[in-house]
Amino acid sequence: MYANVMRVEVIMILGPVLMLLIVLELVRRRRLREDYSLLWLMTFGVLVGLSLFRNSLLEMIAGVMGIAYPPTALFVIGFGLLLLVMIQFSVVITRLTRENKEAAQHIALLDTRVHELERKHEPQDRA
Amino acid sequence: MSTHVIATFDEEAPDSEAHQRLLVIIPAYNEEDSLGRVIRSVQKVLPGADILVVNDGSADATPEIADGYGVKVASLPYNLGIGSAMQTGFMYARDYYYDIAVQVDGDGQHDPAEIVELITPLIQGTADVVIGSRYIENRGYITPKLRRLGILILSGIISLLIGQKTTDPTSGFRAWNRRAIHFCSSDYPFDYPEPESVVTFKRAGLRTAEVPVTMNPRYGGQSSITPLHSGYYMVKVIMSIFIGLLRQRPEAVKEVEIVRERHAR
Repeated sequence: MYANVMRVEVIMILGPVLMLLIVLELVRRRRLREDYSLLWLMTFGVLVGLSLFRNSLLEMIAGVMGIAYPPTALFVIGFGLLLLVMIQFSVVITRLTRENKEAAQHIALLDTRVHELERKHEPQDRA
Repeated sequence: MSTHVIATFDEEAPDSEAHQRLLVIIPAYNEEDSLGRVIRSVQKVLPGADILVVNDGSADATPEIADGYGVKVASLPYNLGIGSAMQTGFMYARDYYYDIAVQVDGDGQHDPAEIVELITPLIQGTADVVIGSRYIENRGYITPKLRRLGILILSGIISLLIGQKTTDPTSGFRAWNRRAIHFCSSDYPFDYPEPESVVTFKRAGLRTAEVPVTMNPRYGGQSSITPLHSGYYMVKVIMSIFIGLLRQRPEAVKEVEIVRERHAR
């Protein structure tokens, strides 16, 4: 029984620590931008912190939230933070879509302009 | 400004004050079956008008067909949706100082012969945007019952919101003057733009008017609004309208500012 509790604690701490390291490594290799990594780092940082202080901080927060079993509070908080990350994705995708649209429109208009100029100058080139 | 419609399209003096330059924007997504016919009938009705086909990333021969008729073609590298395609047309009209822009769909639903009636309020200066409505007069256009209900719901909501009777807010057969072109080139919904834009125009201080038109059954292709899409269409459009109301009021620049900007170049 005691061994099981230990195992859970180890997983709850090591899991987010590992994720934290993966995110940092991705940023170091420039495969993840700093600004998009912030919410991830916060998510895993909070999870590590709450797991480390399971008997004091987490229990207090669970008490405030009215949750009888403290690890459940951990899941609720982690889930909330993940939702924030996903909302950030939607915002970023929206921005990318807009920028993409504007780039496509710009290309189309430049292309039209090039064709019109070519058409205008063609007879002279032939002469 | 001339109020004489026939004298309006004169290629010889496109820049003089007396003549209004008109751009017919034809948004086209995979319309190879009908586009040729649409272009031909526009050219027949308005020989002096410029035509811009906005090819919205078609996979078929749409751009080649347009090119074959010697009209202007703006080809988007991939499909962006009708709103963004039209916006590309507005940007072109703005950049080349057209006085009037008209949307004629590439599927043949709109009758180019009615463009003259559509632009009359613009030339008379009584409106900034004119919408061709199927439902002012009964001209025999048959709308499926469920779609008619959807349009009635949208008309009701929009009429209430803008305090002006609107009978066909989903119609894409429209004409814009310079102020409206300017506005739409920077602010136009990406998809299903028609109903939402009626509200936005009003909020931006643009005057809208409706004129009766007849719409044909499409020559070819498929409606962008399939039965399966109708539910999504209604939800998206109504949500966009109401969220739009929560945004800061958009502002259409004044005619004098557009003219000043043009002369400054």
